[in-house]
Amino acid sequence: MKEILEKSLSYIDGELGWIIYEIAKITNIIAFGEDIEVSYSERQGGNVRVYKSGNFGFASFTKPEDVALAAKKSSSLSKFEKKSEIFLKKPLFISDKFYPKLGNDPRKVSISEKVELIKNYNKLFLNAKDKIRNAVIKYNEVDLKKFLLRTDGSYIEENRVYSGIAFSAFAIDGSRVQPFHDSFGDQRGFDTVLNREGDIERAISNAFLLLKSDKVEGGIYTAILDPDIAGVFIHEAFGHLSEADHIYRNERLKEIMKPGNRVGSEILNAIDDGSIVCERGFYKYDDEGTPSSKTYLIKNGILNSRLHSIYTASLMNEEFTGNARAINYRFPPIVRMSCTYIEPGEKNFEELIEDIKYGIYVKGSIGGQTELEMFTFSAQCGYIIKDGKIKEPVRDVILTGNVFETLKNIDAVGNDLVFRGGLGGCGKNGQYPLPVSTGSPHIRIKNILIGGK
Amino acid sequence: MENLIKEIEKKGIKKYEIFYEKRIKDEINFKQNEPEEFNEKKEEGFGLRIIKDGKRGFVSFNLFENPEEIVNRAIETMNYGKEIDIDFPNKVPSSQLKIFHDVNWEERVRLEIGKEIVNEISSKYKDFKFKWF
Repeated sequence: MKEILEKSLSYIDGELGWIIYEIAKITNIIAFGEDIEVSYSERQGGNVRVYKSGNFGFASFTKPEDVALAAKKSSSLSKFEKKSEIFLKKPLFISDKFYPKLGNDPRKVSISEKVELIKNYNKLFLNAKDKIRNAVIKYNEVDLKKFLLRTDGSYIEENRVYSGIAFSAFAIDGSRVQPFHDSFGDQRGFDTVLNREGDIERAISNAFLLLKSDKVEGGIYTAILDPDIAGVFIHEAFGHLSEADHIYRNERLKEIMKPGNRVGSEILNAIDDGSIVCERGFYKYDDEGTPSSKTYLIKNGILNSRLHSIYTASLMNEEFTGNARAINYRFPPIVRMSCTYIEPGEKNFEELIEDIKYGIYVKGSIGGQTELEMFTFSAQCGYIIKDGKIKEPVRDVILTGNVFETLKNIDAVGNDLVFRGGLGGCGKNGQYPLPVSTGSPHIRIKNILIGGK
Repeated sequence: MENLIKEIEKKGIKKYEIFYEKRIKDEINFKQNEPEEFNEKKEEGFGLRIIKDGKRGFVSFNLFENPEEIVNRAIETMNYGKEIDIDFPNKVPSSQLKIFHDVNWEERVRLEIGKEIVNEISSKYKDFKFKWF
């Protein structure tokens, strides 16, 4: 493959250019009711991207032999509009091949073994008809091989193998449907999907329990966020603001997201790190060939750094962070997160809740929205905390507020960091789902607005 | 394509359907009212659906490198599907259906149209910033 692509590098006419080719083999198994559905797809294709004087030209193709045409087209597109001269900082020269060492390689597990596993999990749902009405399970596996060539002579081959499982249980009472979702996905291998019986039982009992629960009383609470929702919160509410392609021509964001600004309490450290091997958000090199790296977004409550592509780092005169990513060859890379998390503190869970007279323990995330510094997130469920003890469950818990005020109200950080990957991913500018991980320990936030009845 | 059909028939599959799709998408992306990316996205792919003994199999792919593997994969998915009573429609006479707007705008024309739209809206809504076009 390298030889075929390499010949077309000479057709690239620009300041810097990339050729990417990828082969993705995808397996899906879905169980819904008594039905099992297996599907395969194989997707191959590439793109050529050329930078010239502030513009990018991009052309994608399917057959490897069409790379030369794409190189010519991309070069001509990059020269289309003359803009101010912005010279790119010189990227690090790379020559590397990365193939992961997987303990239990999902590609070596037979399809019948995978189907059997899903069938056995499905039986747990089918046997719980007294508690839930419906359930769905999805197994997903992606074997992705990427080739990247750059006009500075860099050459990278990288293989990523994602596997994971997601399931949802639905309890129904009249017209009310109470779902409970869970998912596990990363680049560790097939072991990630094994021994999930306990998680499925938990999804069943939580869906049933929440169906019988009351809605939370709206108001201002001291809240403990579990690692799931705290990780999603730092990704959605703060991580996206850190993406430099949002910032560089937006004067208001430039002011809000200036390094040195206080954005959280002094015990808060938030990081984006694509180099954490085996996590779903792991990659050795981004889609411009920059090595992934650990970037402190927030250090002791102070904004430390933003996330960059080669272009945004050049434009803002900052260091490369290795965050230029595309969901597949059909899209140009844009600035994206990888594994975004809150660094653990020192308190254990008991220490976090012992002083709370009346508060709420918020668990899991089922989505949310942000608009600059304002956010709204829905949790899977909550539990009332009374006199330092976990009490009754509550449903329809919605957290809302200003991200910076909320980050400043974090007054304790737990020591129990957990990463989550799942099967979905992050969405931005029509590119969804990009594999990412979120992570956090339990955190305590005072004065947070909880929406409810 | 012929090799794939040969391979399907070699496996004793009499009912099959091959679906082919090719797309070309030209984009000019504006960021904060300025054109920044000029994209030409070409993609093509195939879907193979088979029916045998009341079971259905499906696989999608975009290169014909290994027809045997493609057919084997489709058969493999069929093995786990439940039995269903379906059939493909009868053979229909093929005809070319024009389903696109036949305008070949040059990049320069598209860029000018994009700029016109951005300027028109920006003149009325001063704070409005275009991200994509």
